[in-house]
Amino acid sequence: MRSFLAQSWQIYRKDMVVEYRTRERVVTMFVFSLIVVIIFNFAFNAGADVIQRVVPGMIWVAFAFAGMLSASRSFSPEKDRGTFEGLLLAPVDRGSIFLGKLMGNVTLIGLVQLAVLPLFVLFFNMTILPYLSKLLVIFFLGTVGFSSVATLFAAVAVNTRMRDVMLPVLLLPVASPVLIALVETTRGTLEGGDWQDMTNWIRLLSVFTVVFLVASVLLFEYIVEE
Amino acid sequence: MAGFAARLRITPFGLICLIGLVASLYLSLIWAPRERVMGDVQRIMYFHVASAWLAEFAFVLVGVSSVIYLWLRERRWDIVAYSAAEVGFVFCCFVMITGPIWGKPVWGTWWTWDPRLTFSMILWLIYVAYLMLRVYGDDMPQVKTFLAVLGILGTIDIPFIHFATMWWRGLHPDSLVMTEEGLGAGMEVDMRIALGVSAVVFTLFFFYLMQRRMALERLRDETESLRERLEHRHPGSLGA
Amino acid sequence: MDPNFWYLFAAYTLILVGLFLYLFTLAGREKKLEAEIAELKAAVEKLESKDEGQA
Repeated sequence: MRSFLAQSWQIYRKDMVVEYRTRERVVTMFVFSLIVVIIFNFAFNAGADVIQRVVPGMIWVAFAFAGMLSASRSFSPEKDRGTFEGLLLAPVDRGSIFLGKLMGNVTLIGLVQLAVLPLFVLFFNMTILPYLSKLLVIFFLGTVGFSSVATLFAAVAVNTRMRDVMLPVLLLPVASPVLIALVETTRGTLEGGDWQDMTNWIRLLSVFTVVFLVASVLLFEYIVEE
Repeated sequence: MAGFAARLRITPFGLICLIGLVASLYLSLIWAPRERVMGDVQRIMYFHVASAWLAEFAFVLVGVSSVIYLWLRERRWDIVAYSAAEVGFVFCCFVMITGPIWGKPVWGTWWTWDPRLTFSMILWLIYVAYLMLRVYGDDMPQVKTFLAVLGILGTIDIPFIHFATMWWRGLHPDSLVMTEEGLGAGMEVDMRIALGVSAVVFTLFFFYLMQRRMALERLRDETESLRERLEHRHPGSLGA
Repeated sequence: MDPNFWYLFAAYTLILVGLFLYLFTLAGREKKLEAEIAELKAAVEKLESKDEGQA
């Protein structure tokens, strides 16, 4: 178990070093989310009260797409350069490769969330400071759950001819419960709701995250085998 | 009739299914009592609910056979999964078509984001993803594994989608246009019998279609192996 | 007549038409494949007998 985690950590570190050198993914994800925010603002040319109601949805559409970008880019450059085969030849458990990639994706989405949330506050006049701790729990749970499925399906999609189209087609229907739960809990929190008001959603988010994390770690082995 | 059956290549089992279909049409459209509030249009329920049951059952079948496929690596379990997905998709389409047709006269609108419709919509999209991956990944050697993974994850997902769509609507009672679909307490015994019969008949039909679809897939394998044999003996004999 | 009759009619018709269309495509694909198999089998047999003749 310890070596499994240590291996994942190595994979994670490798990816983060590469990312630190190029900053390719984080920058594209950030710009992409920013554009989504702005386009949404045009799409809902509406009063403040309407915006308050749609903001949780906007937040998660932006982050879902950023997450897909991150997941897809965590495999496609390796696949194109042929380094993925090298990674598979390394004497590590395949599950740890997955876990490392997943941690990388969660980190990058987390960074983008940190950068974009203040912009939401700025553009849409939201109040988030009093709810920060609750949002942190929700965002973390949801991001891990969403990224588990996203990372797994990205590994599938990268092998298909139409990889850019296949990822959303595969991922979004399966991830829809977690997206619904994220929008609902974010809205509930921003409206000042308590944990008690959303026990069901939190339970759904946690169970989804745990179940799909475990399933993805186990199934990844089958996806990368030759 | 006989010529028609011959053209469709109906087997005896298929014939039993067709007779069952006629019987269940009679029970649903004529024999079952008229619903008091919704009127005759409520009779859509008998086929709608039966299709919905199979759409869900078929995906569970996809999931179970996908697990067995990953475990045993036998092509026949992949065939079961694929056939269940395709036939299940057909039934899921029936749900998506009859839902709005029922909704329009009863709720006054073709579509509402009611939990059950939303659930079917998401399930339908998962079916589409499965079939798309099947078609666009046909040339990949690992596609069967990918499909098995998608089938397993989709099946695990079903309870989550169920609860998510239910609570999602539950939190907004004001937008809930729809009332109970007439299932359960409000249903008379005769209605339940008609529904039960159509569910059984549809299930039989499902297995009949599965059987046909699986036979088709085996034929495809046979052509594939014949082609290989030919190509192996005489490279280029099949043309470019 | 019930004003909603056509909804009921449409729903049942679409399901029945859908079922039969699907059966129809299944039968069609089956026939095509069977023809292909027969053709391939004939080709294989022809080539194999030729091989034996040469040997």
